[in-house]
Amino acid sequence: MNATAIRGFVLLALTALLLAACGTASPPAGAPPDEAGEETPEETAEGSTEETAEGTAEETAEGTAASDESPIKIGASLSLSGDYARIAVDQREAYELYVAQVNENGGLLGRQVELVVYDDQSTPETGTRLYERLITEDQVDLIMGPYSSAVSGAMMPIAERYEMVNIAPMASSDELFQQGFTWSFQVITPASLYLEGALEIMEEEGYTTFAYIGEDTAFPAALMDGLGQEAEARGLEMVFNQLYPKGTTDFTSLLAQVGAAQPDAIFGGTYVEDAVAITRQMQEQGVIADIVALTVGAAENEYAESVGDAAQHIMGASHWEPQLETPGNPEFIAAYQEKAGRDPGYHAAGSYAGISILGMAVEACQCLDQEDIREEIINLETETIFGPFDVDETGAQVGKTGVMVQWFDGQKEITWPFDIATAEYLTPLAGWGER
Amino acid sequence: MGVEQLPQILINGLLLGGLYALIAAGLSLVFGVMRVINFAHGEFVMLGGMVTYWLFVLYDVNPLVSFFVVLVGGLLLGALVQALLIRRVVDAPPMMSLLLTFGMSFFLIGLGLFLWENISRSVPAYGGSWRALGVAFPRMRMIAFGMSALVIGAVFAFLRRTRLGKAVRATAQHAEVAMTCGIDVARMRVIAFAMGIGMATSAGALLVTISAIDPQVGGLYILKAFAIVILGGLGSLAGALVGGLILGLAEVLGTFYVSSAVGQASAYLVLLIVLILRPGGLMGTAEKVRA
Repeated sequence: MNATAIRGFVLLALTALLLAACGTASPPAGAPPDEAGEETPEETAEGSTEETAEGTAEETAEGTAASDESPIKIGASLSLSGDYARIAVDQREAYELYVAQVNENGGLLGRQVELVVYDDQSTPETGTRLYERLITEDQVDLIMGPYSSAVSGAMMPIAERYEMVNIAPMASSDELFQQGFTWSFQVITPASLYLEGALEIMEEEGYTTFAYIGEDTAFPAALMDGLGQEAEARGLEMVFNQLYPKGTTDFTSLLAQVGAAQPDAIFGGTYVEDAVAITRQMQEQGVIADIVALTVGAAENEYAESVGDAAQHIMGASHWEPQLETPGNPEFIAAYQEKAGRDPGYHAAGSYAGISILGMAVEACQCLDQEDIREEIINLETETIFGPFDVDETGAQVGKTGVMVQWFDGQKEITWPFDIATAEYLTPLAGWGER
Repeated sequence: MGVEQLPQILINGLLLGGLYALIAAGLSLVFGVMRVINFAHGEFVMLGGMVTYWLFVLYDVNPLVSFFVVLVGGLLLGALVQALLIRRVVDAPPMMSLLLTFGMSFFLIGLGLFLWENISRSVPAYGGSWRALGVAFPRMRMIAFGMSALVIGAVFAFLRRTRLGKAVRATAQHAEVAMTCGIDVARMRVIAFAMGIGMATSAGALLVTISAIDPQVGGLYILKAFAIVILGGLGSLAGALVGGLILGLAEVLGTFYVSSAVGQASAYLVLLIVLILRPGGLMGTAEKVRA
């Protein structure tokens, strides 16, 4: 009797579900993805004037800059809601911290600095639109990059079109800087080199084979390519590799294949969720190798909390750790803790470094001319709290290396680069239950 | 490659499928009794997991104890949601209940992000495996499988054996006729929804010890639950059980013998094949209704 009704109903439901799944390539996050872009509330750094973007549009960018008493505006769109929200909030804190510090010390070029921040809801399309708005409507003097390779990749053409210097502190994907763009700059180590340290440790110890599994998204895919090339150059062999779809939670079959390949080292291109599941299931299935390095998942504190004892001697790759003896690092950590009420992670540190570079370049050329700032950045070779900064003509980062960490009794120690290590790395790993 | 690894793969698939079955059974039960598709089902799974995480972190409660706390909590919450919200849309056009549960889903994701942030949470418990005959039996997964079987078995027994359970089934078969027979249909619906949510939250309590969950993880599980429910037959509890096991096996076999991508897709391939051959699902009732 109502069979057709039921069938129609199910079809409808499935369609709705499918639409929901596709529409928000990032899963829904509290707010409907589409409509909000235009209305997102804007936020300004504390201490700056209340009147923002809309009201003060008469200001023109460079020309009158030097004599102008109005604040220099730095615009950014960050993923303050949605998938990336947790981390992008750190990025905002870092930008705000820098701006507050600059203003306290007399500003940039003698002018106060104002931050204009929008929320792109972790969607590249919205991010692109918001940067266009920042540049054309709000007429900001400078822009800073968004969070994630995905949003950075989408907005880089905007920076290109309007010839705005775009320091993209959270863009790790190698590809982004191989498109021939000239206005965007990388701050963190390119994804392809995340596990350079692990390869070096392999060589040091005389290991020759490794297996790699990673999520089928930008950075793990770039890392897989990078590992392939690096392995060849170093005479190592990648005996197994596979990318798994985002959202995979069961890795048992994949790990059975990894185990069957009997590699000396197991590498993972992971976020926290999959790093946790992989570690647990390796333990369950009794899969082990002399080196296990899961990046970046296993470098995060939640990882060790989640897997407990199983984290012992697992390695991770990070970009920055609080113990690093980079210039100004302790001061940055203290200031960030005071402002945000929590410890900074590498996202905060990298973002702070990124906006500091922009400030340095502006001070160096004593101007707001984008072309001149760009020249300054390309020629700049310096050390920030985040580590070395040096970009080539394509904007790719060539100075910064990653940091390998290893877990010892719930403590994260830096084990590579060797000259800044806080502990000596430990290989080979003992079997599960023996550590 | 890999015949010698087959027993291990099959064990892994069955253990995985048992958990999927628990999630899907709740969804199927609610649909069976009320013809309401609960889009927020996955979010209730998340809620159960997060509360288990909370109990563990704040009060050091063993997740197996939390399992029962969360199960009872889920039953109460389900009854409340039914009495306050779902009740109003059961007899309305299907779109209304879809909108309501879709809205609930968004609300619960928002609540999850507010309470637990967009961070993956997980509770370490009973890691490692028992080993026998060269096969690893992962401890926590075995426990989780047993718990799932317990809950599904209890619900099954309740529906088959008890007077109240039979009344719930009568409501599922035909609400109006049930009503004329003197069954308090509104109450049966409260019971059904409570059980559905109880199954979801208790599944969450088990999942959080096996993989990491975050406030937005619900969408992942509802997709799988959907495939299972349709595979097994809408509204059929036994169908959810069989469908769950098939999905679990399809995933691990597809991943092992081909690739992760195929593993993830294989469930839906099986679904397509079943729908072509048996449009009502393996144990579906929809076909019978038409006949």
